Amino acid sequence: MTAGRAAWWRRADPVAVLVLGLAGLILLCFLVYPISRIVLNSFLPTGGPFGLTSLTLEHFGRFMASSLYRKALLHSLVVSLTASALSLLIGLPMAFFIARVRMPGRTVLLSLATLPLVVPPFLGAYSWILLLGRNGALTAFLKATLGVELPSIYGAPGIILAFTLGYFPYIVLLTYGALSSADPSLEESAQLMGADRFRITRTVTLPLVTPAIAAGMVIIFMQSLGSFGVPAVLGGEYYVLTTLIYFQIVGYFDLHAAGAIALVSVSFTGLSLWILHRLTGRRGYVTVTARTHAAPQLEGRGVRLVAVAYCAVVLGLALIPHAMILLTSFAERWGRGALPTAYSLGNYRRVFTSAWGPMQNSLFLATIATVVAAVLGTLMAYVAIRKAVRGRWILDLTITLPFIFPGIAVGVAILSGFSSGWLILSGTWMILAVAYVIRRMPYIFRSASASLTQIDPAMEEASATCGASWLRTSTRITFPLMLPGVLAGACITFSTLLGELSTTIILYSARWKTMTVAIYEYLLADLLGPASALGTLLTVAVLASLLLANKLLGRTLGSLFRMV
Amino acid sequence: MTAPTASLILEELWKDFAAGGERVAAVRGVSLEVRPGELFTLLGPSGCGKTTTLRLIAGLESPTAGRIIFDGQDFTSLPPFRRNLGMVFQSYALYPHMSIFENVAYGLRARRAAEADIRRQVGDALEMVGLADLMTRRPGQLSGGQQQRIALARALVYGPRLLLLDEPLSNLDAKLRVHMREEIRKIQQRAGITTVYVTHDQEEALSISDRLAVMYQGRVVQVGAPTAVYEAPASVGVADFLGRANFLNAAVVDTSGDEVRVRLPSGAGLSVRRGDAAWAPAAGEPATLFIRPERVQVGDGGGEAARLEAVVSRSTFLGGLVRYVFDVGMARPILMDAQRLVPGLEAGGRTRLCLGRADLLAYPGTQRPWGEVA
Repeated sequence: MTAGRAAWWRRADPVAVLVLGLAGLILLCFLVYPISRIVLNSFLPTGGPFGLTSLTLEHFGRFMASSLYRKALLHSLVVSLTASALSLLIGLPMAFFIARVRMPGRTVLLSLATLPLVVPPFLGAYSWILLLGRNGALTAFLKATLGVELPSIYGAPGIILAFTLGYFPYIVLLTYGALSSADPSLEESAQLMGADRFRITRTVTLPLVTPAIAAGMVIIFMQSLGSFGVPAVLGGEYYVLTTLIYFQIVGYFDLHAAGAIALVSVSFTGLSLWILHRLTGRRGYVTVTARTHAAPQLEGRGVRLVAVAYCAVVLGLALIPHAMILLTSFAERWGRGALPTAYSLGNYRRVFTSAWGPMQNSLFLATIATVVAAVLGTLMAYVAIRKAVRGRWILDLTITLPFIFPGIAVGVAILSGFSSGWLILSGTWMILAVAYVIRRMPYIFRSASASLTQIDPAMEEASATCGASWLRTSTRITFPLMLPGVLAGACITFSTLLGELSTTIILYSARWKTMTVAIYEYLLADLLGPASALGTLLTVAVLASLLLANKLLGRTLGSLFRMV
Repeated sequence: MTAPTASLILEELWKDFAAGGERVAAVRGVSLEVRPGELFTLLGPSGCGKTTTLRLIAGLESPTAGRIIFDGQDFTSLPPFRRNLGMVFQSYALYPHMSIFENVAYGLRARRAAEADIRRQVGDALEMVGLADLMTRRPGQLSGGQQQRIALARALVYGPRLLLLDEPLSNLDAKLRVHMREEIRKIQQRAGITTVYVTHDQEEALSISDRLAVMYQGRVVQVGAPTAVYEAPASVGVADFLGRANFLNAAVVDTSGDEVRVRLPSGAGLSVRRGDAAWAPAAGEPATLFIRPERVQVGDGGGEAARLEAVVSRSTFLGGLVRYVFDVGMARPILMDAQRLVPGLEAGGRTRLCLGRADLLAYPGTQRPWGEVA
């Protein structure tokens, strides 16, 4: 009897048609159009005429012909796959320990585990150079005390290290979420039927968390494949797809070749998502029952000791780079040892004068893009969930399309769309804002959709029977009820946009340089102090916005992140 | 708060839903007339189309075919917010982000009432449901029964001309349910508002309604006052759905007027009223006799009656009554509801049952209780 609910909406309401038509137009101009351009461009010869007759595969052919291209693709796949596998290896035990061993400060552990995810990863990458580079603190220390000569941090080892320690929290948070929301009576009933602990883990617990693990690995694979900052800082001569795209844009301004590389990269993220869907999509794994009681906790002394030690070591490793940046930001002078010999606020004074513009730009761009993405994403979610019955998947697919586009590919798409043609935005703040909105809207769309599906349609129906029009119902009832979910999505969007580099690096101009670009430039110029100071400020801003979200919504950092 | 009452007419309403590529009719040609100021109940087992019919009246669904006319005005294509009706939902649908006051004031604000009027009318409405002191609370802080009253106040505050209630009591515990249905009845009568009430609970329907419609598989099977429908159900299905029922197999001998002469398996003959007016029985055709358990008597009784030899299978004490189950050598046992324990009736004991002619109704033998069809 609940089928076909809310039929009265579908009758045309002028306000609804206007609002939704406008949103659709924006989507068409700023999402569908640039993505079509980048796809089309990659099949057209560089500088050649625009037309269907001149379609070519020459840009893709380079993956056969050029060893630079071949290697970049191979490198990308190797580092991304290795990072996913290693993340699983170190993340899974930690998730089990936090979920199933009685430990003090579980919330603190989860919040600390979230830190690497919210701090821009290339910052952490750079600190590995500080520690393990040729003149790194740890390198020097090991050489002096043990006489051990470390392999070069540049290239695959450094990139894999930075990816793994930067992204393994995805495994921890997702698996922990699945473990703690699974109904403990599933395991208990297995126990009553005579299964031992090993059998239960193998036949009940692991299958329950498999979708979470798979999702975590795919996210890490996608993030690694799309990351620009880390390989740019740690790669050296070791090219991956993202640095190759950057090379094509900055070196030759070849949007066509860059587009082709981006598409190859997109095809791999698409493939990984498809595999994820095949693996987990069809099985109705979600345990829907409300938890009646907490899962049993292991309390043995030995287990607790191992668990605490393990978590401390892993988290320590993951947080060392960030501590290093904090330390470096206050450093005045370095001696021969691992630690600075004098401290001051000099670096901060310096960035407040020389990087004041980028700071303002970052705040301005992130704010405006967050607001626009939140408004549009919420409207779209509303349409997708409450309005269209047929054709809903088209909207869903369109909005989530940028999700499979690595940040740098979004940059190339926006540049392809708006550096020539009917609307030229290159060099303005708008091109960055548009790219940011397009990139982050999927996340807001998803958290808004999630909160909307939890609102009883009777709430809106009651409003209509009380005499409220569509406009009043949506502004007084639907949107206020969606607000917590949207706000959570917006806070995360804001914080990730502050730390955005891969899209920005393609689109920024001299006037519209962001904090991340400024940090990147400092690093290229070997100005470690200012880079660290600016990086610390960035981290503080990111954390502040997430803590604000916490306070607003009364959720922990970890659960906030799981929503997206 | 009272508005002149008006009648509601449903004409041949149909509603199809798409279900897995197929179109399934949830409502199949429902025609009804709800009289001004009456409380009219749509009653039926789950899936019978009663909620869909209510949602069609509210305008939350649009009919595939048919018309809805209220007070002479065609409602069929009017959006819900222009129908000036009040509705109470099964889940209450109180707004968690608003205070109780704002929840109740919602419809008045939608009608752009003046602030002073809103204050007064919300106060009156909350007074009416006896919760004037809870104005500043949030819905989450209220008990189920209180939420229910607030939902009722919210639906009535702006003086709608039609009140719709969708299983409003199904989320309350048994005792509160009885209390609240009396409360709803009182408030409805005071407001004198035309009301359509949906429930699957036959006791609730019988106790609260002026008239009711029994629905089954998308159709209205019988309309009438509660006593009329209870005493003279139109089919074996209605008889079984509305309260407890005993059924006996018999064979038609002949008909005269609205009575039919049947022969019982024991060989005895009896003239019984026809329950199904549309039934034209032919001699020799099988028939089903129906009698309520509270009309079954022990002993020989007087007058014309079906008399059965019975063995007591068991008795169940149900508080207000005792239910005896007898084996009479037929497929179905016979139930008897007695007000107190009958001396001498022990499990295994033999007795005679008397089913008075006036308490029996005859139906075509092809009819089955709804539960047995599936």
